[in-house]
Amino acid sequence: MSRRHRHDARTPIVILSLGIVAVAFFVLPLVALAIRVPWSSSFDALGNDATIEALGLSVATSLITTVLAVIFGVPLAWLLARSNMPGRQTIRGLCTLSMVLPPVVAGVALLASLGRRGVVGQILDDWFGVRLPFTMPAVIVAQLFVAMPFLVLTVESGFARSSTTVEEAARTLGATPWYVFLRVTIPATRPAIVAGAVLTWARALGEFGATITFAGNFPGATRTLPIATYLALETNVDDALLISMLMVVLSLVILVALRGRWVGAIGGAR
Amino acid sequence: MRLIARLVLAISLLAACGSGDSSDDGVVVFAASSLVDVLTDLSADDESAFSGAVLSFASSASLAAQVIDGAPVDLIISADRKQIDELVAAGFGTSEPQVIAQNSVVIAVEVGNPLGISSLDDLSRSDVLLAVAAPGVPLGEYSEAMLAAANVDVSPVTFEADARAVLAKVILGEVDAGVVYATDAESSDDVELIRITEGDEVSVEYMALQLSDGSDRAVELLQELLGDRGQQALARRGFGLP
Repeated sequence: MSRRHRHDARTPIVILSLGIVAVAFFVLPLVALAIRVPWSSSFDALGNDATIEALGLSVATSLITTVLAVIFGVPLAWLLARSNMPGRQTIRGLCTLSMVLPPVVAGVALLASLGRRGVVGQILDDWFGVRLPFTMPAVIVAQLFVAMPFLVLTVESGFARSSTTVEEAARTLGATPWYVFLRVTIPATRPAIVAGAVLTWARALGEFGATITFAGNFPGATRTLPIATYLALETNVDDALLISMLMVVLSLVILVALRGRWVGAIGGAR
Repeated sequence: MRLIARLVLAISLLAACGSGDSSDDGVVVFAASSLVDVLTDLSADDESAFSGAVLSFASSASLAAQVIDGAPVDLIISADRKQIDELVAAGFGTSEPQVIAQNSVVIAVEVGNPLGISSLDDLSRSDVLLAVAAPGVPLGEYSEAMLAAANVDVSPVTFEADARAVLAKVILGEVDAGVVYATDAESSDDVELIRITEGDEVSVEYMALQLSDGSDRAVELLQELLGDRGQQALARRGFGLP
């Protein structure tokens, strides 16, 4: 990444022009969105309670999702990268399938398992009176289901890349496996964990299909910003544009803030 | 200079790719999602003008928003006069809007009606989980108006994006009752339909608006919907005729 590798004059023309097209492809929609936003009325829409409520819900649920993804995803990634568990390939496939499924399908699968009539949901309802659909925990479940694979895959490759010599040294010095995991393995993989957490958070914040299918749409409980945007398109396009812009700014702020501290982590490649 | 020449070439090639598609003569129809069965029936019939047409279904409101944003559509059929009025006000439409079918709003419940739901009043019971369409979607507006007129105060657990989504929640058993179009309830064997008591019911008119200039196929489509073949297909799926 050092400066002397950047010889712009020698950049092949094909790469340059295709690269420019790619940049335009990403930038144009954002610029167009900013142009279309009715800035003059922005304070009305952004100050409106429904938008604030959806914003709060989105931020809260996506952060909880990210924390849960780290708690469960890091151990899963370790098992996939380091253990001799049989059928690891199959398990990896099963645990990351939700990433490529159409989100609505993920939502239907969640209803089939955790819905009121679902395989497990029925038991939850009968025994504990717990009903997940249409609640805030359902939003988190939907986000976790589609977003956690991003963390698992990123952290798994982090574990696979990091050298095991220090861990072995710690073990020969008498450290317990748990101590090695916590004090040696995790710090060494921290950049990958942060990168995975950011990807997961971003995916969770933008989650729409699985959420509206599994959690429905109820103001204050399950109406997240993406759902509010979609429904605003039906009633007030200006509001939809403003909420979209709000999401762009929110994502941008977080990415820029993180870039300052952990850019190496997000780049990932070493 | 060479760089500029190559860039110009690349851009003109890309532009050529883009314009190739517009010569496609497939006629495009936007229709309210409750019409999916009828129009799919028609398009499966080789003799129908709908055979080969590109059909796109969504809530009428989002379809109208797409048209206003420049989607290349020949004919739009909305479940609510409001969207058609908006389109006409925005300068769209190459013909007078026409009513092509009617529908009604009903309550869909699980087969066997285990909770004994028989009227709008039952929807306000605390043991009934209710799904309705979101305000802003035509069905949501109809439902809201109907419940308000009947003085029934409900607390739905979810406001779904369109009629089919409400029905899906009832079919999956996630809610006990959903307010849907009669045709949607009739399309599924997994739900039972509870009609609204006379006096409280609302009637729904489907309106078609031709959008393209001088497209003979759009005219043909509209004529077919109003003619025997179209009206029979609509009646078969439970729609009322205009």
